Amino acid sequence: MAEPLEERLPGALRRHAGDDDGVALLAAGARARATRRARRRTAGAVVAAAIAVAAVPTAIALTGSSPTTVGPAPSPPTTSDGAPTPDATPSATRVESWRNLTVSVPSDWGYGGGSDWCASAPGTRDRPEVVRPGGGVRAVGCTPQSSYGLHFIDGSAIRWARESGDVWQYGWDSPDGVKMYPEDAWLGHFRVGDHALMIVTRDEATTRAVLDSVREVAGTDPNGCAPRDGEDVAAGDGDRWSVCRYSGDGWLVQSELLTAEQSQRFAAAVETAPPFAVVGECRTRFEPSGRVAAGVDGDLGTVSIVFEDSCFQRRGVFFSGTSAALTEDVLYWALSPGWSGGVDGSVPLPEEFRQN
Amino acid sequence: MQHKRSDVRLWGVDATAVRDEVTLVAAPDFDEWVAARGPSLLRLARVLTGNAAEAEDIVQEALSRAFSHWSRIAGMADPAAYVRRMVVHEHTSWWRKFRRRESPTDAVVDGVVEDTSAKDVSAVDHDRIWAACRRLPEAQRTAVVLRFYEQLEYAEIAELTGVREGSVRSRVSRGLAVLREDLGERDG
Repeated sequence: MAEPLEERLPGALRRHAGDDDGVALLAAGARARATRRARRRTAGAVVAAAIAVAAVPTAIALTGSSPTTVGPAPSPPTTSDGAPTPDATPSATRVESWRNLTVSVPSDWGYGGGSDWCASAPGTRDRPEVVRPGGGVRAVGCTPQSSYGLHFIDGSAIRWARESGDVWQYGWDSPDGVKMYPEDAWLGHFRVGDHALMIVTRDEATTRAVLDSVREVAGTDPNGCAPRDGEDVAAGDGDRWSVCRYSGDGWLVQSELLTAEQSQRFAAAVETAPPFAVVGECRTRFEPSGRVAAGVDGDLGTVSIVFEDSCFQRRGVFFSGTSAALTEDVLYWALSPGWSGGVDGSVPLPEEFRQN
Repeated sequence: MQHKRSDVRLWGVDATAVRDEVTLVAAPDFDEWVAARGPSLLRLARVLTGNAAEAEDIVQEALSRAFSHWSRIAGMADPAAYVRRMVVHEHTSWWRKFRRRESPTDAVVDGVVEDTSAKDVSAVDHDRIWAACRRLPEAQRTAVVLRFYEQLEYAEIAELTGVREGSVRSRVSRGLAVLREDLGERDG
């Protein structure tokens, strides 16, 4: 009776592992490749992009510790008179996700931190922006407090005056006197549990179009990111990497799907990040602050990038059992457009951030 | 002179490191280290890939990256384990898989009845097993090779490949099942 396969396998594999042919030139070949790679890195350049990074928050204006009614006092929805003046009717959209909500917005919408727009120059205030909680807003006494765009909202402390799916025109004659949005803006509201969003545009059609695109994420969002952090969260698409940013509580904050070329450059940045060994234990009392998970096909090993953590032992680039140091190149790709946050001074942020 | 041991924690991996508080130990020369360890890395890559040319390419690529950071890698407690991990990672890297576009029947001689009369039974059996291994899906073949060629524990394979231990066990189990079916053998 033949031996079990498990006992014959080692011998079969050793027999076909071959001899030592090809070893003689291994070291020389490795040196030559390393030299060529170093030359490519010097000659190539990270694409420079003019980008403004949102300011670090100093106050929260939108939500507070006590229940707050957001939106005007209930009033019958109105329709615009005459021909609508839409925000730039886009021919392309992009996906924006936050927690378990995903929505398509016009691709020319920017990124902002709420009322940051207030301090910006006239003429630039009208550009709609995608705003996420956590970056916060500066309470500068701006009127209105927020401008056009998409506002993701943590509604856990909010008593909503509107139902999910409502579309209405905003007026400044609300009893509470709060001038939250531009007067006569068209608002659209959506929420699932405590996860909500507000759409603010100049015309009803655009607001409705964006609102109609809102979905609750079940498996992964259109960028291949799961709403909750875990293993194999960055699904990717073929040779395109998903870039998924998670907060410390495990919720998805932002997602991206890179092009194939961008994905290759990201992979190269990860590949050439110098290895390092973490020494010692983390002594901070703070919980992990989240990470960026990137890659395709989770079984190959999602790349985990931790850079916002106050504990330096938790920071780095981790994949397939390898630990590597953070580099400007890696962070250039890990920081999706519109990222804002606080990092330790030792984190090698790139000189310029991606704009798209 | 005595050395103190302290735990040096690689993310997800526990390794021991020797703190050179008393004696300075010279880091191994890269060329000498490759001459000593290169053969085992090359053999591992051959059984992982089933292809001698790709194996050499993978090992050279891993060694080229190791060379760039040799002073640091050489100072680790177990440079061989670290570089082996780099070889496995290079083999499983998504971009290499994307370029390879391997198919289940890649480089397999099918339908040819080889004259095995001059070979002993074990050699014939080894050849059949090897051919079947090469037909395994990459993830299963990697797990099987690391288990039965490198003789690693499941937990070690999980750390090396960056997948859960449960997934490793499943891949090995499934890989063996596929091999048995391919070889016309029954389980047990």
